[in-house]
Amino acid sequence: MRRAVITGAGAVSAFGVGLPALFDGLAEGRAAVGEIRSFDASTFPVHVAGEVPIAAIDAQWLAREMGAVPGGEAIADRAAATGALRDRKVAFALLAAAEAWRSAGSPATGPKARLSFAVGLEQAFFEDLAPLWTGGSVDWSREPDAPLPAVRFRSPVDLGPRLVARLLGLRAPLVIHSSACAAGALAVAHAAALIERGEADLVLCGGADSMVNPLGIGGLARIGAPSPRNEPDACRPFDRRRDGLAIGEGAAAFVIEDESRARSRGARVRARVLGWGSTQDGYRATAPRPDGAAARRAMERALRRAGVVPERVGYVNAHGTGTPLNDPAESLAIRGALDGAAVPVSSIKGAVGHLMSASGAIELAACLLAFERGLLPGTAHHRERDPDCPIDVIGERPRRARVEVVLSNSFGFGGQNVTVALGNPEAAS
Amino acid sequence: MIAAVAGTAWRTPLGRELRAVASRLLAGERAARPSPLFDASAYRCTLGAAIPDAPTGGRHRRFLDRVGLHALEVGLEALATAGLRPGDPRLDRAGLFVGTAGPRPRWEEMLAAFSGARADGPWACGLQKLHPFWMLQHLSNNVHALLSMEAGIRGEGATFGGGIAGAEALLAATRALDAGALDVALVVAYDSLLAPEALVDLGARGIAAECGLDALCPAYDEDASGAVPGEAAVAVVLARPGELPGEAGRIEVATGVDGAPLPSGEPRAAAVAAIASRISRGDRVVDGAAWALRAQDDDERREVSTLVDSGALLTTTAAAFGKLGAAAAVAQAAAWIELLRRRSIPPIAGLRRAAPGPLSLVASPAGAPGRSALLLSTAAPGLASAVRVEVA
Repeated sequence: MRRAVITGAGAVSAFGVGLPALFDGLAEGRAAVGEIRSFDASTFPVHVAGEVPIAAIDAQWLAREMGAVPGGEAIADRAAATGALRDRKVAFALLAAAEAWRSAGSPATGPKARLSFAVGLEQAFFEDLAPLWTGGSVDWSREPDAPLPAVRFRSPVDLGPRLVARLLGLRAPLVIHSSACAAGALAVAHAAALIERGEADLVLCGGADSMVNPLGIGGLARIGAPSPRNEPDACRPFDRRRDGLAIGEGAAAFVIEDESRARSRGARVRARVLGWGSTQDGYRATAPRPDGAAARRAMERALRRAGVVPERVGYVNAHGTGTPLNDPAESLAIRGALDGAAVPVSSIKGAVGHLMSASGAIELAACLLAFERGLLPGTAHHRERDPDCPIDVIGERPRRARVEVVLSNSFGFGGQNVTVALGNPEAAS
Repeated sequence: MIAAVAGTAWRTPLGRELRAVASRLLAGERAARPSPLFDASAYRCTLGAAIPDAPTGGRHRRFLDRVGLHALEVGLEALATAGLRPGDPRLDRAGLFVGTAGPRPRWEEMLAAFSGARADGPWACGLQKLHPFWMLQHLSNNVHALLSMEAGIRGEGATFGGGIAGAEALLAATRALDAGALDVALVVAYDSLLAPEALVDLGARGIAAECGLDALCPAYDEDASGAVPGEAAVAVVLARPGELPGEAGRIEVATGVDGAPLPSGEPRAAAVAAIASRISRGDRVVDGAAWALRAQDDDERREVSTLVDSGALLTTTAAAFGKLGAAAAVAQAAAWIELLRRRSIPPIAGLRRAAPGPLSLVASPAGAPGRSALLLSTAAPGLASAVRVEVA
C-alpha cells in the first residue's frame, strides 16, 4: 500500500522567508501582524496585516532568496521581466517551492512528478489601470500598445504555479485549486490522493496568496471581515473579545511522495499525510453553520480515512479566524469530532494573519513544529476564554507536547470545509 | 476511471435546451457575431459567441456575475434532470466539483472607484465606492458555495482554476466516485472569454480571429482564420456506471501539460495526442482541439490520426460554439452524449474549403459510425484535455 509522506517543506510568512522563521516565531510565541509597509495604507479603514517583511521584490533578491535551485536566476529574471513579481504571491510561491524542494533533497523529477497548488483571488492591481483611465472610462484599446510590464491587467490564476513548474522541471499536469480559504488544504489532500493512487511519484503542493495591496485590502475592508481595530492584536482567535480577522499573506509548499520511495532514496520523512476529509455546509454564503455539523463531518472523515480513533489526536490546528461566528461553530465541531476530549487547539492566525488561499498550507507547515520541535503553536492574542468556545485553547505561548496525530482545519467561503490529518513519522504507524 | 452521465444542463452560445442546441449543431449553425457584449471595434478580435439568454439571477445576483449565475442555474437543472432535487437524501453522498478559469474582475464595476480616486496618493477615496460585496463577487469559489447551499450538496468537493479547469473538475469527480468517496458528483464548468482583458490576451497570443464575420473560416479550412471567443456554463451529473437511472452515456477523462508549448502558449499537437492516447480506443469520431490556425490544424490531424481508426471522422463543435475556455471539455461531453444518442455527427460549421490531410472532415451532417467519440481541447500554458464519451 502506498502511503503519502512529506519530505520537504517551505514557508513564507509574516515572520519572514523560510520555514525556520515561521518555526522560530511560533516557538517564541511572537506575533507578526503590524502596520502595512508595502504601500501607503494610512487612509484605508484597515491598515494592519500579517505582511511578509519585504518592501520590494526584485529579480536579484528573489534569486538570492530561492537559494541553490538550478535555473532560479533565469526564472526570477523572467518573472521580473513579465511583471509577474508585482503580484507578491508569485514570488512567495517560488520561494516556498524552492525551499521545499531543497529540503526534500532536490529529488529527481520524472514524468509522474506533479504540481497541486492553491492560489488566491486572481489579482488585479488598481494602479495598473491608471494609465488607461481617461475622461471617465477605461480605454482598453490602448492596451496592446502599452509598455509591458508597466501595465498588466490581470494575473492569470495559474501564473505562480506555472513558474514553479518551470523552476522545478515538473512536466505532469498542474492542478490549480481555487476553493478560497479551503484551497491550500485541498491542494495537499489532492497531492496525497495522487500519491496513494499511484498517479504520481512525487507532488509539489501547497498554496500562495497575498491580498496586501490596495485592491485586496480595500475590497476586504468593504466586506467588513477584518477587525475594525487597527492594532497588532487585530485577530484574537477564540478570545471572548474577538472582533474579526487580520489579513495575512505568504505561502507554504510541500514535497509529498510515497513513503517507500522516500525511504529508498534516503529522504527524511517529516510527516505522514494520514487522511483528509472535505464537506460542504450548504448553509449560507457568508456565515458558517452555527452548529459546526459539516465541519465536524470533515474532521470525522479525515479520521476515518486515516484509520485513527479520536483518542490518538494530540493537537488540532484550528481554522480559528477570530471572527465572531467561526470560532464558536468550529469549537462545536472539534468537540463533536473528538468525542468531547480536551485536545489542545490553537490558531496561528493571530500571529501571521489569515493567508486566505494559502492558509491551509501555512497551517499545515505550522503543524510540523509539533513533530520537529515537540511544540504545539500558541494562539497569539488569546487572553480571555470564551464560554462559547468550550475547547482547550492553547494560550499565547506554545505548549510542549509529544503528539502522534494532528488535525488541521481549513474552512472556505460559503462553507467549504477541509481537514487534513498528519502523523508523526516517529510514531508507530 | 469511467463515470456515467445521468443529467445535463447548459447555457451555450447556441442556446440553452440540450436537444435544440444539438439540432443547431447538426444544422451547421455557428454562434459568432460582431462582439455581442461590448464595443470591441478597436480590438484585434471583434467577434464573439455569447450566451443569448440572460440568467434569471434571483437573490444571488449580488454575489455572482452573469456567467456565474448561469453556472448556478445549470447546476440545479442538471441535478433535476438526474432526478435529484434539493433535499434528496442521496445528496448527502454527493460531491460538487467546479471548474472555472479564474475570476476576472469586471472593470466596469471599478469605474466608480476610479472616478473618486485621487491622483496624488492612495486609492482609498475611490475604493470606498466599491460595492461591499465586490470582493465576494470575485471569490474563486462563489459558485461552489452558493450551489452547495441551493442544492443541499454536503459531500466532497473542490473548485479548480485554469484553462482546462472543467476537465480537471471532471477528472476529480471520476476519481472520487472511483474511490467510493461519493455516490453522485455534480460537475459544473463555466467561463467567458468575452471580456476586454480576455480579448486582449487572445489577440496578443495570436490565436483569435482578426477578420470580420464574412471572412471567418473555421478550423480545418484552407483559410482557417483563428478562434472566436465564446462562453458557456455547463453541468453534468456523474455516478458510477449502472448506479443511477437515466444513464445517458459514459465518460473518461485525461489531462496533461506540454512542457514546451508553442509561442502562443498552446500545447503542441503531439502533446495533445499523447494525452488523448491514454483514453482513446480506436474511436471513429474526433471533436478536435481546432485551433483554426492552419499549421496547427495540420499538425493536429497528423498526430491524432495515429490514435484513431483510419477512417475516423474529424469535426469540431468549437466552430459552432466558439472557444469556451475552461468550460470546453464539459460542454463537449454534454454535446456529444446527445449527438451520439442521435447517432449523428455535426458538420464543421462554416467550412468552405476543406484543407487536405488525414482524417475525414465532416462537411455536412453525417451518421455516427460508432458509439464513441474522442473530444479534445486546449488552453495556455500548454494545457490539454481529452474526454472520451460513449453511449449504449
